[in-house]
Amino acid sequence: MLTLLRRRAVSSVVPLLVVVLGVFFLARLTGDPANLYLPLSATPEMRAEFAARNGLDDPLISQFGDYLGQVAHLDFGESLRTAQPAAEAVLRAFPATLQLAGWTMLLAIVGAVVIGSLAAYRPNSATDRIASFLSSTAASVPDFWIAIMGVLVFAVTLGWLPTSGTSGAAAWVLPVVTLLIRPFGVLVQVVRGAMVSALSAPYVKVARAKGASELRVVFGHALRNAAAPALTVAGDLAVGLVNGAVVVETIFGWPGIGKLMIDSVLQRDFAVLQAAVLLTALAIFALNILVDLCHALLDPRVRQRAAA
Amino acid sequence: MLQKATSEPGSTTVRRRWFALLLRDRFACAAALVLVLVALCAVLGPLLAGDLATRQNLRAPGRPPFGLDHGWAFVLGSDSLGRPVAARLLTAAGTTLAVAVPAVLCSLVIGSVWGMWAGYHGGWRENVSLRVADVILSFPSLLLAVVVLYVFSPSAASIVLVLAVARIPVYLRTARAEAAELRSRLFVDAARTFGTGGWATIRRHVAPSVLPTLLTVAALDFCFVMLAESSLSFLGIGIQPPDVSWGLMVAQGRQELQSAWWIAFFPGLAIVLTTVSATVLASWARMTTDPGQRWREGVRHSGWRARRSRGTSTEPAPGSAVSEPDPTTAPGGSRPLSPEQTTAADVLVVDGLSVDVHTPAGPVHVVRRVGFSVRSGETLALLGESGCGKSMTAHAVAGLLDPVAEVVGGQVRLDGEDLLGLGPRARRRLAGPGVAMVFQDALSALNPVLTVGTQLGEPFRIHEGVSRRAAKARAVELMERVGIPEARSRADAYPHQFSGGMRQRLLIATAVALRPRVLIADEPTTALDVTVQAQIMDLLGELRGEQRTALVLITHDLGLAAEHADRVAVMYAGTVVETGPVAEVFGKPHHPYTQGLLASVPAEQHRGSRLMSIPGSPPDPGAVPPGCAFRTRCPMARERCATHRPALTGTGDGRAAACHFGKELADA
Amino acid sequence: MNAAGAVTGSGLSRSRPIVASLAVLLAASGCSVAGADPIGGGPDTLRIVLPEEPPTLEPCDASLTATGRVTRANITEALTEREPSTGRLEPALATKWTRDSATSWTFTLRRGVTFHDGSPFTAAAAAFSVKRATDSGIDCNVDGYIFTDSELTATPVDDTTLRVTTAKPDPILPLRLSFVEIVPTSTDPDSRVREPVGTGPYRIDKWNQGRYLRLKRFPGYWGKAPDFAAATYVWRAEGSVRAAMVTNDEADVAIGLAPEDGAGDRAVEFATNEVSYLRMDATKAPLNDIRIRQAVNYAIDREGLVTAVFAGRPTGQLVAKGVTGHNPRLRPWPYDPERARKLVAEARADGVRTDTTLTIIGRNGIYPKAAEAMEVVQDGLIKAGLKVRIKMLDVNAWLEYLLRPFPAGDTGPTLLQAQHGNQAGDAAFTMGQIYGSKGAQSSYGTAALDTLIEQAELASDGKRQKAFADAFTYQNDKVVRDAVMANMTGLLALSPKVRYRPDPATNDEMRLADMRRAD
Repeated sequence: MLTLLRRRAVSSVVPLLVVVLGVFFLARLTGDPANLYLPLSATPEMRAEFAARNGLDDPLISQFGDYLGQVAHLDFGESLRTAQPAAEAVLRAFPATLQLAGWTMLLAIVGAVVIGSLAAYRPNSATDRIASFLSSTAASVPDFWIAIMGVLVFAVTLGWLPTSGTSGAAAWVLPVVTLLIRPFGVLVQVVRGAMVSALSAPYVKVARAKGASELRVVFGHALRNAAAPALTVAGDLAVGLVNGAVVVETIFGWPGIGKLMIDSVLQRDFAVLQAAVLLTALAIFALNILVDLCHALLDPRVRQRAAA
Repeated sequence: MLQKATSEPGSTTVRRRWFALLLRDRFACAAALVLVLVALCAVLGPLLAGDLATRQNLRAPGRPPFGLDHGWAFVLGSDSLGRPVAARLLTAAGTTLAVAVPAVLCSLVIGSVWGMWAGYHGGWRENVSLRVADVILSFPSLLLAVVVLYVFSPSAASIVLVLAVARIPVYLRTARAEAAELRSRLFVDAARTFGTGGWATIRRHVAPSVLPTLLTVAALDFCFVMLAESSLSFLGIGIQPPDVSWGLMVAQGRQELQSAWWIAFFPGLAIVLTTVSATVLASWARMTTDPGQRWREGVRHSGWRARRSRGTSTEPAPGSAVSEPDPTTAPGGSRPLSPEQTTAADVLVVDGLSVDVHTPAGPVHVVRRVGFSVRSGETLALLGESGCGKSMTAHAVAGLLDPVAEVVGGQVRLDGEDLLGLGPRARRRLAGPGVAMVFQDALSALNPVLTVGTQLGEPFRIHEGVSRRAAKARAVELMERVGIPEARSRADAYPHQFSGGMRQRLLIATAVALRPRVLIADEPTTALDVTVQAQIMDLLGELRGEQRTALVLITHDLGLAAEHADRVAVMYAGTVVETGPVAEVFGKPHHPYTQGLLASVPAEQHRGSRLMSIPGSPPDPGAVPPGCAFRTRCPMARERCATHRPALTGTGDGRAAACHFGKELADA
Repeated sequence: MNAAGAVTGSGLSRSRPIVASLAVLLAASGCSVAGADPIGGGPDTLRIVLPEEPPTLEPCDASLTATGRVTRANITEALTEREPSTGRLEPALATKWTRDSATSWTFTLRRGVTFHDGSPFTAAAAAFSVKRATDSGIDCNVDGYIFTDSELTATPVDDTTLRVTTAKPDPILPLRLSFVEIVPTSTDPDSRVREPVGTGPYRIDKWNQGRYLRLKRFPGYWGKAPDFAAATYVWRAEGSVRAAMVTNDEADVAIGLAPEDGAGDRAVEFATNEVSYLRMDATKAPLNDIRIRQAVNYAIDREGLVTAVFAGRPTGQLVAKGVTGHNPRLRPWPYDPERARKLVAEARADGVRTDTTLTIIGRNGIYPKAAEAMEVVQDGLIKAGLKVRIKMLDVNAWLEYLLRPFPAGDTGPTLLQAQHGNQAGDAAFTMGQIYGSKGAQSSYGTAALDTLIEQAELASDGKRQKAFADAFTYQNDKVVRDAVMANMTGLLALSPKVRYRPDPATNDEMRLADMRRAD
């Protein structure tokens, strides 16, 4: 297991560099930020001075070299917009996103496992049909619609929940539910599919022949075999959330990384963008390693291959 | 010649069959209808709507829906520029599909082929591919979109490009995971050793197993792509007006969700409906293409609750292919056993057991009034060709029928107690100590992700409630008992780390863990070579002697039956046609079918040979001929056989046969 | 088969570490979010919801809308203050001012004013603030916006007297100085400060970035103490959520709303200085023909726009009522599709290449339903016989088209979606940069118009008003570089708890002291 970890960590270095490099150069393809940060009537001298001060006048390659050098010293540059260290902004936003994503995925996975198993238990039954229909609907309803409707219904009309913000447990309900619905819908579908196959496997019959209760059959025997595809898809969904739940963060005023990243793209705030992407990329790589570890934990054959 | 040589069905027939299957599933039918409708809109929409979709009316914006005063185009209201929503929906269908379909297809094809290739080969290819996926996933797609906005001019092609690239990793990773999982299974390895090329193996073995999951994901991706396109139009790289797509309509209507809900709602509904339909159809296609799942088609689950209270009613279900009146079966049919056979020593008595399988065409009687009994310490061989219902009988006795199969009559008495009348809980209590079962394919019958120690210990955990540790100790004892070397250390190993014979031993160990009164062994040695076969049979014999278990040996192997069974019950087309002590039955069969079986095997080569050479093939369970089921292949068939079904009647010496001429054969 | 794997442990127990580590992950991420957002805080606190968080509260960036509406007149104050509804300049930290010569002004400063840190307000602080804003290395936005090319020196004469001299005559210097927020000399002159000290009625209490900003009433304020003891700002990007916060009693004031955001009877409309317009690239065919430019003006249904797309009043000039230079006689162009068609046909008959595709360069979010507005324009122009496509851009990409030097490459003739808000109240801040042939935002001008602008900029008082008004008329009649669309109407929502009358400057400067308790 440790070998796997070490090997993954090492093999992640190059891709991380590629991400950083890609973001660095692509961001600079999107135009000169001077327009945004200087007064509309700025003179060419002011623009030149702005470029010089922010190191935007060097050749791109040397800019990138400088940037890597700074990053090596954990200096991620300064935000053009707020004149604060970029790392500060990113580290402030990331926990909020991580918590939101964590709760969302936890609830989505637990819910999807229960509902998906229930649906797969009797394929084509009424339960299965209803679950399939609802989950595919859930997976395709636009999140902003749920968000705004949620605000209108539960905050404005019923007054049960606050419209937005981050204060108190009640404020978590709408963001988490909004964010949850699509991953939940997708996962129900995937879990159901995998469970249908797993439940028709001979070892399930064997378990029944031993007198195992249906709970034990479903959760002790079938589920772990059905986990692989669900885990992969869940990993991808989680990656999407870690990358920022833009709609939810925007609508509910959740101070997360998604909104920060969008704003820094639109504001050409390169330092913040790069720091944010670097951090989320790290998190995504870590998450993927975690998913792989889960695969290995769940399936001895994967473990054996990883050890080989 | 077990299978009739049917010619490969032509593609038209296949298509027709698919169509017929589709028609049978109302849900999938509706979904297909929606998709066809959307496609029609995409083609005909612009013709129908004309310029209505772009005709602005700034003086009367935001007309509410469901009014018919302004023509059909306004039936869904009008948007903030006074354009009719319905007409725009129609016109937008084409643009929407023109973006969504290529985007989904591109990412699906590229991602899945790449993923399967990576997963199949493993090693550095897998590693590099996964890291590429990581890179794409960690890349903010918005940045990509803005770059496209800057570097290229916005067009449908650039939208497709951005969306497809963003989605490729999802398919890549999913396909990779499944392909890697498959790779670890035997059959791909086997294909590899036979020298099949990489791509051929991927196409033939990997793709069919991987595609179902990918199709589910792809169907759901439709909505993702359509909505992503709408958020791209916020940035300006979406569909450019005056063209219109559902995504664009959603994006524009979003601002007015509070004041004019219909502007975003109807295009949103269109997206949801299309996606849900695609998902439903994908899951239907998944069911239909997966041979292991196809039988579930059209299954209605009304039978579940009924089955629980089963045991009182022994009436056969009406309305079936074989429901012609059959006077001879009346009382004798339900008690086919001669009196001396149902003695107090009988541990298991199966009596008049009937099993139906629900198919789209209606119930099929696969097991019909089967009866037999076994004493403790005795071995009964249930003998017959594949498809004769012997496995179904065994599963019914053990209570392990698939949901599509249902016991419709008869009794299964264990020590006099009717198992079929028991509730599921009571039934489970007997599964293990009462009736246990050894399955055919030991690799798939052992759970690949649990240690064998856990699996062997499970009966103790379930029935005796012992601790994990104690269960493991008992498992090790069991492993030692069935002859697995180094049992203590190997209890922590997984099934794939054992050889085929060892796995079969493990399976037997699991079955006999609780010293069952009845052990059903379903073709326990089919997959094994001859020496191992003998070892396994010896082990079963030992255990039977030791535990005084009644053993029901299900096999098609006459030699095996001859060597290991005390008595034999021969099955044909879902019924028992002859029973009796094995030596006598084999020595002098009282049923033409048994005769045929024996004649097909040279006596000195009984062992290991198959039942091959009765003319014709056993009837399809759905189309068993009336009267005697065997008459079409029977050399002795007469007129009477066509109208009257023979009941299993005693022919003396503890023997019985279901033939109108049983007595004649006995006396001959 | 019997592969030697380093496999140990029992199978079923293996899932536990995953669950455990997941729980740890969630717990470790802490509860820093929950309970950290104190919007609320009793009836004495004013709760305001903004569309975006201020990037900084730096006073010398106060001409940025997002910064200015929090900082100006609340945290920091200037020497003078423009009354937005009348356009008159009122005393603030200066009680009176006189023009000593064409280039020199003397300001008499208010006595008894202290900064939030307790230090007294003096002429030295005023001089320091002017220098910091106009002549330092920190690139103040105010410097570029207000003092484009004027050089000025401020010198303290004594504690309460400040002399300001300019290199060139500047008739509106006191107005310009209403943008220089006064900070104590202890402020860092060489870099921006995020949380400034000022003399305003409120001081910064706590700024929890990303979540909220709380101001507290400054007890040492020289003027009348405001009603509310504290003010909390939060920000939500979604207009409908801002409106819902007021209806749901989570906020007292929500700004930047659109009519469709659903504020209902809590909504208050107010006139703003913002004017939406289309800038025509008159250097390229067919827009180089004045008939086509007139046709564009006739083809735009302004009444339709303000009915269906955004709230506003059709107008014919870039400055709103109340700004010096506004010409009340200048009418908006009528919607006359017939005439537009005729003009285009005429031009085509004269050989003008009317079949060249015009590109509308739009900017998403410039005002509510920006893309729809451009669709209306596109529709009108197509009906008039022109070919038009729309290209919606994000702010930075759009800025490249707005500002000189314009993007190279062949974009063809363009119509630029733009909006102008004259915050300062004098047409000088509009004319030169937008209509001057060298103006930063100008794609086309004429020598005659340049002369008119130059003369107007040097005039003062009544003459100044007339000169600018004439220049607008000239532009409208003879140059027709723009299709001015509408003077935009602002919308905010107020809770019943608050009395507040917004004015045209509310979007840039929202005075908390003007907000009164309703009870």
